Amino acid sequence: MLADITFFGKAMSLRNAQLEVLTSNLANASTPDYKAKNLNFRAAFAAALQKPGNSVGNTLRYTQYERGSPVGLNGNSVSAEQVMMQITQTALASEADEQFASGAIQSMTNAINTSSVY
Amino acid sequence: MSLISALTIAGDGMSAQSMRLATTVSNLANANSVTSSTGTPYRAREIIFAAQPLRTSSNGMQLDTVRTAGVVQSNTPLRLLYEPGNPLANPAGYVQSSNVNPIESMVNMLSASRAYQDNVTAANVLKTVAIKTLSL
Repeated sequence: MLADITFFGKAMSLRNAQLEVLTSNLANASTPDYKAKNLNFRAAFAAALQKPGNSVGNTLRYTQYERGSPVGLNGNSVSAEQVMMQITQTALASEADEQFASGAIQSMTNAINTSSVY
Repeated sequence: MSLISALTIAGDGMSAQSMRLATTVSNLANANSVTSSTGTPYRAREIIFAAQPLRTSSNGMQLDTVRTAGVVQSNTPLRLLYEPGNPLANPAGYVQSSNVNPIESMVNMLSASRAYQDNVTAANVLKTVAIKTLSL
């Protein structure tokens, strides 16, 4: 159970880091020569699972430039619509992790309190 | 905590876009100005955005926020209006007027306001996620 909470905790930390990268894309949506970035969640999560405790390590190392997004005349490759969808997806994934972590906490609390029920 | 710094980035985005809105509004307000405090006609101003690194990773990847690097004046030629009765007219009867293009300014204003709204939406999403995390 504790391992579950750590697992979802790491996933949530990484989703928050991803939200940070996506927000920085959105803030730079009209900056000339800015290129869209995103966190490579799969690689970052695989590395985070190897780390002891609740640490996720340096997530910025797994941040990559987005491939395939068209570059505008001012050298900017951010598509505001695409970034909004990515933010929504990431927030949804983060909420799912929160639900699962909440469930793990709940079942642990139930296990602790069982003696008082019977 | 990364959610807090993400909120800071969204806030920086909002302040940058509101600076752009203010500049555009100033251009629109001065679209018909023939003179200014400097004695020359008003020139359209444009704001320059620059990505500002917030953190840099060991492999050189940066997490950027946004800042306004400065304001530049447009170099497009000033408009000449034929107004012989105007006290500011030159001997040929022409008055130099600002080089603001109102259509361009309106489009710029719409774009800035949409970008501002996008940042507000992102800030709302971040807030919701943070509240959900706190209520675990």
